[in-house]
Amino acid sequence: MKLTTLVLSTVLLTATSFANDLPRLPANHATQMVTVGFIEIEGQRYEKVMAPSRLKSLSNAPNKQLSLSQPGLFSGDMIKHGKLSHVERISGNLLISTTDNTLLESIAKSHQLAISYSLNNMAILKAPKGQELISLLNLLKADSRIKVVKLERIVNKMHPE
Amino acid sequence: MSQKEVNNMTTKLLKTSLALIPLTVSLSLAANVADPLTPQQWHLKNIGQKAFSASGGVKGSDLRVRRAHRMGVRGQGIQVTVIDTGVQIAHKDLANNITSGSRDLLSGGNDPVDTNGHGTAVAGLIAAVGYNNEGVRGIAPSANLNGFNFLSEQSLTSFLASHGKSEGTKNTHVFNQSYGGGDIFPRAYDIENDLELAITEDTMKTVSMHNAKGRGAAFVKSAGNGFNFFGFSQYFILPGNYFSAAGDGEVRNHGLPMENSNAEISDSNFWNIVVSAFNASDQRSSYSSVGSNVFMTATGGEFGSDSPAMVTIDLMGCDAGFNTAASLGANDLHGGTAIDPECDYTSVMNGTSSAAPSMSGAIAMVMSANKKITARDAKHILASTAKKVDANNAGVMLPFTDNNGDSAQYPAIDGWQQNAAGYPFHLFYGLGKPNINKAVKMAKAKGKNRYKKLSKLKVTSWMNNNTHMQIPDAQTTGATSIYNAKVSKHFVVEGVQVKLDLDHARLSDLSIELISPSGTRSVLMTPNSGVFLGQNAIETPLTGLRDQLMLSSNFYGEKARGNWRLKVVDVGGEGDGSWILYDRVTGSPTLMEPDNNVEPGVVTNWSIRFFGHQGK
Repeated sequence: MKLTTLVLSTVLLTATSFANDLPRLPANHATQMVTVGFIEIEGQRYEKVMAPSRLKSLSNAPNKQLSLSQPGLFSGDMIKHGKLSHVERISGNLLISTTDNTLLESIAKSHQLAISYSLNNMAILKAPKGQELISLLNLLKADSRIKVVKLERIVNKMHPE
Repeated sequence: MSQKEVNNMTTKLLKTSLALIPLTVSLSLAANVADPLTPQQWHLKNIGQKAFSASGGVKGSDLRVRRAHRMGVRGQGIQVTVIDTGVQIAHKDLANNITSGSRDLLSGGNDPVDTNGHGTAVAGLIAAVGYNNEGVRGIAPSANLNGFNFLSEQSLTSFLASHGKSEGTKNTHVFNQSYGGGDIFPRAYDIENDLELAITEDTMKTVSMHNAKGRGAAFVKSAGNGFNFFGFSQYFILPGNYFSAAGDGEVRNHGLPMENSNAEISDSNFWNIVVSAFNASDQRSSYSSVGSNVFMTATGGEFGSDSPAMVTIDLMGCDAGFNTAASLGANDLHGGTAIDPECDYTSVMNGTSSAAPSMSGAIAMVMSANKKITARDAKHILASTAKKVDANNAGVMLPFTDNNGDSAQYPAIDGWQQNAAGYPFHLFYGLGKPNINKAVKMAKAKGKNRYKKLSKLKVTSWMNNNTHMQIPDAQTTGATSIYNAKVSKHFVVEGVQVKLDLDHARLSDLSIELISPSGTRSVLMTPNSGVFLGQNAIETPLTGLRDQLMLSSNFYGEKARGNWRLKVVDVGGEGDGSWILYDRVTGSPTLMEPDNNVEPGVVTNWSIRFFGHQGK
């Protein structure tokens, strides 16, 4: 079997003749994110990214070391996985399903999490402000009462159409 | 009867008649109150008006709603929630229809601030206040509205609040979702592990069936605007011949959709009523995404410069929304012209974003006409009374070179076909466009023609079919797997979902068909679609599809029992399959030419389930 290969070639096309057909992104959407670090989530490596304006304001802040370089993942962090991906925002919520829906409250209590919403054996749990989320995720994964646990990653993927 | 009794009766009748005169006069006057821009709202009544653009459309290409309005059915008692960029609830042509329950999902306040204008335009199409001598008229001009700016804050908790799990939405009858997100990486329907999917789907099911004191609710969703190309992250996804087709005497993408709406997991969700768009000339709107998941089509228009877009509400003032001082000259309405000096209205709203509220308005009208029916009944009535759009459309025949080097053809999209239950269906238009007058009449009918409600909705469990079928490369023969659905012989289909696993090194070559026991063919996924193109654009190519969910409305009304055939056809050979990744920031196109698959693809598993009811 011949291996499927990807051929990427930049073609000799100009954008000018179809400018009206294919509008550029508005300036406020076209801002490129800046990579400020890397994080591994469930075996996948992600870039931690930040809008340039946010980076600038944090760089000028007195606690810039803390803000820019603290290891781990926190509510409000933004991540990206390769060129062809959306920017995802970490909400600080975790989605879980349990082996038994009567266990939801005790699970939340034992991990000091608040239940935002529950449905049958599923729940949205809110982590305390400032909580490092990768270690929390690992703790929850190790809890035998929990079947599935996921970090909520918000992608503003939906657009008016 | 004595003469005295006759006299008394005559007097009573005369008094009653006299008493009715003011009401009659009042209704008649109300019907004649001019909302000054309404004559340009072709979607309400199309007489070929230009709608402030350079040319008019075709008489009768509309929603057929005027008679229902004149009968006094105007959406009264129905609540519609607009889930969008927000809604300008203080707009002078909306305010009287605004009810409580709106929320700003960013701040938590109760004003769903709309700085974009999209959600406000959508709200205007549904329920701009009618007969008030002001601006435009909604399709359901007396329905109640509230709104959420979900597109500004798309967390799961925001989804829940705006989609039925908040105090303000518990009485909502229709949820309008004029939004979507194109993708090139399919999301698996893995309800066990994708908890966001599990929670949203369960919520939509519950709300659909039980909201609004048991009448249930309709979730209406736009199919997308990606027929020619679609956006993904900072890119546009284009067919390989996008720039060269005109010069080469070809049709872009051979006339097939780049974005087949059925690949987007929220659009293949049975609980969404997915709507494509048609224009004032009774054709598919040039941009409208399509698919077998489309339930019906509705008015979306074109761009409002050469031909009509939709005439609706805009953010108030000439410095906000679509109609601004700077847009003077773009058409005959915008820029502070004499007819709208304060720029409170627009004539360039379009998209399946307009088709969805057109359908939402239609559902609101039908639910208003008969307070005893459910949202699902309203959907059924609209389907039963729908009218064909573009009745002579012949579909799309795809030419290709088969693996023997011979010219071949494949019927990728059929023209209008009547299914075994008598419902016409077209992949562009679903079951057709609303005929609101007729639907309202059916909902209101009395006596022996009284509408009989559908029996309880049933959802079968997934029926799984492990298989190992090879898909021959570039041949129309394809691979076929049969599953015998052992359900009640009276089970009547309202929707069919398929979940599919297959391996294939170039997914865009594939056409995926489902054929019912009655012989109706539904193309679940059209070939040359851009929706799986991420497969070869990443470092480690994806091997195929896992738990790919697809929906068909094509079998509406047919019986579910019997042999269902899944057929997968590969219609792409050497030299096919190219596409363009267009960077919207730099404006640079990159041609992508994934190699043809050398080995045949393999279907490894598929499942089917049915939504419907017990018929006779």
